[in-house]
Amino acid sequence: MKLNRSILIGTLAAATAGFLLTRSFAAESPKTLKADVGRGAEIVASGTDYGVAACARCHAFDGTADGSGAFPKLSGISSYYLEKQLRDFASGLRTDAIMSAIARKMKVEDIADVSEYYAGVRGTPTPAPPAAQDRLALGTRLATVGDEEKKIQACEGCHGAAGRGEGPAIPPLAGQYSQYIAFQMRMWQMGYRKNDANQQMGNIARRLSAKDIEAIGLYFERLPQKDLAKNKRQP
Amino acid sequence: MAEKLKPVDVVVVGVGFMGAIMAKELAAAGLTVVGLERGKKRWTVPEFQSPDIHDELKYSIRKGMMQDVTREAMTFRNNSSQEALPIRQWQAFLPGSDLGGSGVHWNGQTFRFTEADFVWHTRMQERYGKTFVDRNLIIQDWGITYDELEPYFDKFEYLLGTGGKAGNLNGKIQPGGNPFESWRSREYPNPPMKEQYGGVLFRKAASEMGYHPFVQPSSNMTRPYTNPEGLQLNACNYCGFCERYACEHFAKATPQTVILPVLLKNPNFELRTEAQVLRVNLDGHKKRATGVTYADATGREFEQPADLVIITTYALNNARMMLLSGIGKPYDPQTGEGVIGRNYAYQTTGDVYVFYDESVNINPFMAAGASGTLIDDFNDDNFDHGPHGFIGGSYIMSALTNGRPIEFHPTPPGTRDWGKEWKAAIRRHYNHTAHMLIHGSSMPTRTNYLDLDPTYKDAWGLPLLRVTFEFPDNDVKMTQFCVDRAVEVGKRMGAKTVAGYPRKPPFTTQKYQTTHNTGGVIMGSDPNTSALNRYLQSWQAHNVFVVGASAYPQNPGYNPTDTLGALAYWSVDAIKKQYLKKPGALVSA
Repeated sequence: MKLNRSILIGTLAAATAGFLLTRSFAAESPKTLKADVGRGAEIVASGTDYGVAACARCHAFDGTADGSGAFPKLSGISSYYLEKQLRDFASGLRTDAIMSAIARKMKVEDIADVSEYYAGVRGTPTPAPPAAQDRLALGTRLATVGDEEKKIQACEGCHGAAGRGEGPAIPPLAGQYSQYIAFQMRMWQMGYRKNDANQQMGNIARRLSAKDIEAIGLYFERLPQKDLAKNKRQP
Repeated sequence: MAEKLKPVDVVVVGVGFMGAIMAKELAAAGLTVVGLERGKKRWTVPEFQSPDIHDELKYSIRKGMMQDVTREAMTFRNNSSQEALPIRQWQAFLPGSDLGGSGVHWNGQTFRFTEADFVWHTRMQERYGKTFVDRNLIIQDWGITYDELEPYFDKFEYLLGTGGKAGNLNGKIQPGGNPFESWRSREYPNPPMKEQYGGVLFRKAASEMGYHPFVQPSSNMTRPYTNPEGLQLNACNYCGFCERYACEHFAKATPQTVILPVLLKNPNFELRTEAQVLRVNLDGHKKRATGVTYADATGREFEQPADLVIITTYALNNARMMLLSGIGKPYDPQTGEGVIGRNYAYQTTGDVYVFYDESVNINPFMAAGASGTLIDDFNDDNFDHGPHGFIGGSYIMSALTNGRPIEFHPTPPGTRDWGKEWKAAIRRHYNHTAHMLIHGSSMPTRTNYLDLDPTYKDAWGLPLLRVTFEFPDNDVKMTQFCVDRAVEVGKRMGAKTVAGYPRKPPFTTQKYQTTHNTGGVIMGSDPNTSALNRYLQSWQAHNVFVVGASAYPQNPGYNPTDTLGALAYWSVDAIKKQYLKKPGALVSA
């Protein structure tokens, strides 16, 4: 059932691209608008009068969020990636109890503007939660070496050395809240999230145990966030 | 004195792609099998993980995955009047080593040979007459037909998880696929790869010119896949590190991802690594192999008795193993007699570069080993050769397998090749250049052949293989014609400058072309002109089977691996169904 559905999605995407059964990189890239960072900052702070909530209420002005781990850090993530996620929330390709409703109210330029804003802010380091040595060792192994038995490559093979990301398409994980990472991994695992290329993340997450997932989150949260935004604007 | 080991049913020499397939099938049939691999063990985790696996200096430049030339080189010369010299660094072709062999660093390009290819000699005579083919060419039929092999192509492609679009399903031409391919019984197991931007531009131009573009069949996974052996592969993320590298993502079909884990779980199978096979031993009548002699990492020699010997050591090394063991009469170019070393062929490749202005971003780094869009209109016997005076052809493919910084430096003709001007040109053209690969056939001649070198020896004191090769006139004409066609497509692609580079003699080992060496231990229906019968069984020693592109009487314009996998399954099927019941010659000479 799952396979059939994915074939259908692939075929639809191909038809949209105008090439029968042929997909191209070019055809899939969303058109990037010229983003207005100032306008993005306004939406982050105050939302819009047509019902878009202020992003900073949960994600904070500097993208560090509220420290609870329920909301992800956004600082240092590429505008391309943020924009894609918001568009996916809006289209239903990705779903979230809170974000789907917000994104559906956002105009295309709102999405571009707030994405540009958060891509450029410098986050605040947060203290890493305590973690048992064996759990950290497991997370380190999975993230940096992988697992032959489970046929899992190292997370860092795509998410970059020390979790710094392979921008713009692959997000950084360094410094991200472990609770958020674990929650998303579970979403991939259970098939509720599948908005990546080639079903890569679901395929990997299905082979991980709850313990593996927790360990991977703990490993990445302890890494320093990439200093991508060092010389950029501070809120 | 070699230490004699306990006899086993089967010894497999070389545990690469074909060795793993043969061993897996025979162990599953209940036979005790020993696999002797000269190299070391290696796995996706930990050996193939990044960042090490993306070390371009180590793998692309220093050829980190290839046969160790300080221990085992080959010698080369262009013709018999020259003295052959050892190849000290692999450049033209790259024979792999270690567990999984060249199957680890291949690109995943997965083409079937066509119906015409297997009856090439007959087909050329029928279509073009008895005097059309250059008399210096010694083309032959294979002794097998495409229809016989089709089920085995299918089996191999499903093992690999090949992604593509059928062009001919049971005789019905399918839109979107290659209309020139021979029939296939069902679709590919996976959809085609994404098309690169250069491919999009190529597709448009080629379509406008009336050609038939399609996406290259690829064994880089286009989605997660579980193969019939129950092994799971992950989707490719187009990182551009396929050829010369191992895949870190479990996303390229390699022995490690599609078969070895199953083989190693079978208790009937034993893998011995760092085991250098020195020769196949024969009985007093030289009609039957008794096993092999090998040296371990310390140089200690062992004799491994076996009832069946399978040689799967890469095309060139297969020929050497037969010569070192005295199985089959060595080919003599003076008399044309002898079977080992004859019909050595290569691949005739050319390049076309399409230089755009800076508004066209090609993004060469968004690539996989087998991503590409191509036309087959000028390949094989897909067009009338009558007016052109040559046989064979090439596919023309818009493909960039990588944008790696040390290797990828496209500059237009006339650019200085050093200094400031060169660097500026690379910056200017790096992201704005499309490339076409012209991948063509290679026809065997009387004078191109393989034998043992009279002078140079390997680390074990055994003579090196000597390669004598020059591009035949036929192939030079062929590749010029195909490059000319590609240049026309390139101009249609809307570029500022199009530069074509057809391959010209002399052949040099110093420039990378392709690892597709073929022939030397060919299959056929006549023991006077072939070393193996149609089941890849030695005409001379019935319990020796030689699996490799060494079996190809000539090399068509397609990449060789798919046909090789089909032949391996075909051969092992004959062993299981016929040979084991009644050991002996499967075809009477």
